[in-house]
Amino acid sequence: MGVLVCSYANALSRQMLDPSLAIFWAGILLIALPIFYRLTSRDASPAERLALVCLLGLSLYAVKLVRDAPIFIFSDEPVHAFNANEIAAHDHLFRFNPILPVTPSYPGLEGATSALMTIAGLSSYWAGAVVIAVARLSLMAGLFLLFSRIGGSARTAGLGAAIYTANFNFLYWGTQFSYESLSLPIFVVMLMAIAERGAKPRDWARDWVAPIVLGISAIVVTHHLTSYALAAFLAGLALAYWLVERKWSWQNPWPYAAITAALATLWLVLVANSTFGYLSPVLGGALEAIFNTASGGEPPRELFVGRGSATPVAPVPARAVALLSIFLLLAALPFGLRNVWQRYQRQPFALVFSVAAIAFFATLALRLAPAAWETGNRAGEFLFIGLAFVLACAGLQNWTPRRRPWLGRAALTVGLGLVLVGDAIAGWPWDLQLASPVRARAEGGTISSPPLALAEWARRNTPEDGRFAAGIADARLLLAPGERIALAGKHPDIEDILLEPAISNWELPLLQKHDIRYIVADARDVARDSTRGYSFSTADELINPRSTVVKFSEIPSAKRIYSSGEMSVYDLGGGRP
Amino acid sequence: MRGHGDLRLVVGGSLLCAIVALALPWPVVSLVFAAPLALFAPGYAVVAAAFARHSLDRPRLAVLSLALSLAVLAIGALVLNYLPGGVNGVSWAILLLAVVLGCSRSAALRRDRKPGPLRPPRLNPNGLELGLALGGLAAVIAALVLASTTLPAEPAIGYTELWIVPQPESEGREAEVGVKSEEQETREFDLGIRIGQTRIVRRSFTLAPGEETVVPIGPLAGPPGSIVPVVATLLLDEDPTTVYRRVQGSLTSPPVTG
Repeated sequence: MGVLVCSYANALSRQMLDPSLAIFWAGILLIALPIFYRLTSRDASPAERLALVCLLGLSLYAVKLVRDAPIFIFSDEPVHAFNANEIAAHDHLFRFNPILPVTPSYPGLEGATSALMTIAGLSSYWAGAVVIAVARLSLMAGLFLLFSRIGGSARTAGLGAAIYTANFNFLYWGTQFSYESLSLPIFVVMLMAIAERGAKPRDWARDWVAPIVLGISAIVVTHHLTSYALAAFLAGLALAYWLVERKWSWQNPWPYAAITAALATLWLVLVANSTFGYLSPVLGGALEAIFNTASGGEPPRELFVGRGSATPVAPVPARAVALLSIFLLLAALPFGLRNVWQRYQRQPFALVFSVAAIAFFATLALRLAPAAWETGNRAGEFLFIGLAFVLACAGLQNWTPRRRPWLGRAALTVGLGLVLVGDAIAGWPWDLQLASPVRARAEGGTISSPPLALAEWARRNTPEDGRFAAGIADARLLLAPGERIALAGKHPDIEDILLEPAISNWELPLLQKHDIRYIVADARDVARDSTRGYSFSTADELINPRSTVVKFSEIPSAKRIYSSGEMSVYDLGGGRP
Repeated sequence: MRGHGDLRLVVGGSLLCAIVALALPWPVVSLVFAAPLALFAPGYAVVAAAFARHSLDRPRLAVLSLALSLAVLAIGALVLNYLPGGVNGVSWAILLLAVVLGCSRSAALRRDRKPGPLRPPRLNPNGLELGLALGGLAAVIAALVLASTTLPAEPAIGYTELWIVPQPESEGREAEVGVKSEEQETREFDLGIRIGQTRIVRRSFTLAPGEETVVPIGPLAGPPGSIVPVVATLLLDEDPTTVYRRVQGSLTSPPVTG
């Protein structure tokens, strides 16, 4: 029912009726609260708890599906869908991606998706949705079994897995068709495998080698950051084993840490060396931003405020819920840490989880530094695994006042609901919690938003090898569903070519260098926004000066071959229709 | 694999799924067969081979089967990339069958005990539980149907597309001018296409939302190889004094033949 309520809220939003987000959050809570409450009970069997956490994970994934089905709209999704389409169309991996050139070097997700696309004939959307759904199922079940093995309690495990759904990225960012959405679940299952290996008798150890190495290899070819996170986690775990045991026992997972580091390094050097250029500006910028913000050289980033002046700010009650959720997590942390220390101080996994739980709050500080926000946000997904376990050990569910023995369970259920909603608010722009329409019904027909219509027009009417330069939102839809190569952003500097009021000397040589045939001139300011630029125009939309569009008519060979009002396409290829 | 009912089921089922999934022309039905082949069987076979001498409990077996199937798919694409034929439906099916068959054979050879007969988990739901489960399933299906339904959005600003593109294979001698209405209501249009300095093609038409019309132009009768500019102008019938859309291109006269 909760999924249906969320779907209803999104349906109202797609009709641009500006529905109250309370409907949506009611749907989320309708999904989560009964499961949370049942998980706090002593009565449920381990099998029931496992089924409940799987149901929770899949239901929250369904919330994402009912937001935008059946089209990829989240910012990285068209990029990866393009890669998957390219594999299915050309039978080979490692093809060029103009927007995120690093992504074809990590083809795990798109390769897996291509299996369903080519065997069953599915579109990249539905094949990708099925792959991510199975990955989510693995994630939830893997978390439950991991926590169950470490904590020795199905009740703690169920609560831990449920708490994990409250991390900032669980509802939206982590569900998009993007490489981390596959690698993170395998990461969790590998942690589970390492924990199982350490808990079984020694003669089992060899049995685990093939599954663990296979899982590590899959992570390495799927996502750079997850492979580095796995190497770091396993190294930390190896150190924790040594600190606890003071010897290199067979349970110590150092060989797997070494294998992960070696495979990740080999892949980085031999196959994916563009990762250096992709990650170093992000991480370097994050470090610089931390230093600048800490030294007062740069003002701290405003929380709950999106990019651009036109982006709505989360209202005060929503911000209060988000901050309250952080406060609740922080308040429960000391109790969790105390209990973990009392019960599991000889358990290396629990020690590493404790460090991760504390580190999670350190990453929150990164949210105050403008360029470090994304780094902190992404690290949080991994660190929250530790936090979830520690908080599950806090023990609020065991608080049973004599007159109201249900109070502890009820308080924990309400607290978890608050944290789930609050962290979802903190992890995703306020104005994007619900869908915006990219298609609409009018007089019995179907109309498409301007960028989507352009992408569909390009697929039907331009040659496959015709390359586009476009704003970053337009370019993403040109990749998928447009199936055309579209360059955007600052590398190369398409953004300035599109925004400057007149043509400059450097622009034509740059366009020629990159073999650009078509320029998409889009007066909509939102075309530069990779999270918002896909929907219909509205009366209050910000429009750039006409000069940013018509300037391309000054190029002698350019012909405007397409016009839809705010959007035009100029053909630089001689103008010969 | 005699006596190993689970392995025989996985191998036989995978073979059947591969054949049916590839043969069926309906993607959704094909998925019913492709999903177990791609998302469960390879992982199960890998786990069976790895734990041939020990047995995992059912939840761990299931989770590892799913996750390792995903891992096999991620690595499998890499393997197929370097094999003749590359990444396509048939090569995927062969690879997945090879993994299932190879690992199952290995498991059968290495197992030092015959597993008990396969029994699905016992579920004895009462009427209420069954009703709730079916109700939940119906609600999710309803949610997905609602999500896939295109709905009216009156505040969305409608618009119309106008374009001019060459006819494929015409080498610039022929083109088409297209108009597609993305407006919120039915509108009447006047299209004027000026070819060179003198020739003008006019069309008046009405388009409902989502409708499209295409006007072919060319070939030209003129000096061979000459390039003639083409300008298409779209007016709204209700406001004929204002240019609503304008695009431009050109046509090439056919060369002299014979």
